[in-house]
Amino acid sequence: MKEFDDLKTIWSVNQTQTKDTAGFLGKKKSDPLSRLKKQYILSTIGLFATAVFILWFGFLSGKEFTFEISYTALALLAVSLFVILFVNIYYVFLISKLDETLAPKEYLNHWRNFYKKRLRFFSVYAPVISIILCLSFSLYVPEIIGYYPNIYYKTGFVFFLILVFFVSYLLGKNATREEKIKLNELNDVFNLLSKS
Amino acid sequence: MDHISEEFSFIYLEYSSKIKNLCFGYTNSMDEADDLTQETFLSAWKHWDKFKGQSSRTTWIYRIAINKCLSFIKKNESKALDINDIKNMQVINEVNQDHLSLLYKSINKLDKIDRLIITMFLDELSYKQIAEVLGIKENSIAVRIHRIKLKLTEIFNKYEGI
Repeated sequence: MKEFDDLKTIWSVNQTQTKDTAGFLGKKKSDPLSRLKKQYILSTIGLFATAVFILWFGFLSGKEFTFEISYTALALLAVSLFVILFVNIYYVFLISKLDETLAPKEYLNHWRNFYKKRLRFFSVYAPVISIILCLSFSLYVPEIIGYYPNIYYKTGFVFFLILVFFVSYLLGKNATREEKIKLNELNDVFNLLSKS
Repeated sequence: MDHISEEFSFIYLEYSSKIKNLCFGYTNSMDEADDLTQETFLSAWKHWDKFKGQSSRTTWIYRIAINKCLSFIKKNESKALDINDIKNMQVINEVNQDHLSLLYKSINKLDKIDRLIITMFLDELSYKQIAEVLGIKENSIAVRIHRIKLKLTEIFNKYEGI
């Protein structure tokens, strides 16, 4: 039968090996916060380039589309990409505000807010953006398969719509589930800390 | 070596092993503990100028480590303690190795915050320092540590009896 002081003695021999300072600073492995921030920045750059290309292709390249609706489709597509781009910039701003030197409760609260906002985006705004994206793709479909006989065109159009909506639904559902898991875990830790 | 690098090296040599123990007690995995320790010191290095001297460097480093642990979301929560992780530690003899393994196993049975609190206490941080790290009142810490000590001893004895 051991007392707590015996456990302290056992602990006192607990010496783990760590790398030397120069070694670990030399092999700088970026932390998850920086990685997350970098991901958003890269995605923002990608989205910006795509949106600019779409606008150029639709309105400045001089290409004339057969169907008037194609212009609306490209404009809608660019707007959706810009919305996602601004959301990404907002996330980068939120991540930049996370300060690891804060008291744990405050720090966790910042994380919770970040995940809450992301969850809200995935469950409320993302489906709307997804519908607009699907709609804009669908509106562009006539430009691609509009020359085929009517029956093929209509079948292709319906098939495309179902496919795009199904994929968006699956991706959205998966993303929302993952966000909920992360948020619940952070909430649990936050509540444990609040009890102290 | 400039003044900051010198001070940083000193802090690293003094606390890296303790921070790793803290992270290991929390995550149950030596690889994850390694990563979290590295991230803690990288973050400390990055924010070295932010240290305002309101607390000691010790509490400051521990605070970063605690934040790293708490925001660490485990992919596989049910991972069992790997005995090889303990064997890789520099322990004096087999008996100590077994006891240490049991102690880590017992710590892992505590809730997440309690794991961190008791590890800091075992590493001889004072109530005041632990309270400062967690940003909670010293009195609450004293009461909580008393409760954790009893619980941990009970779990340890139960494991030892098996």
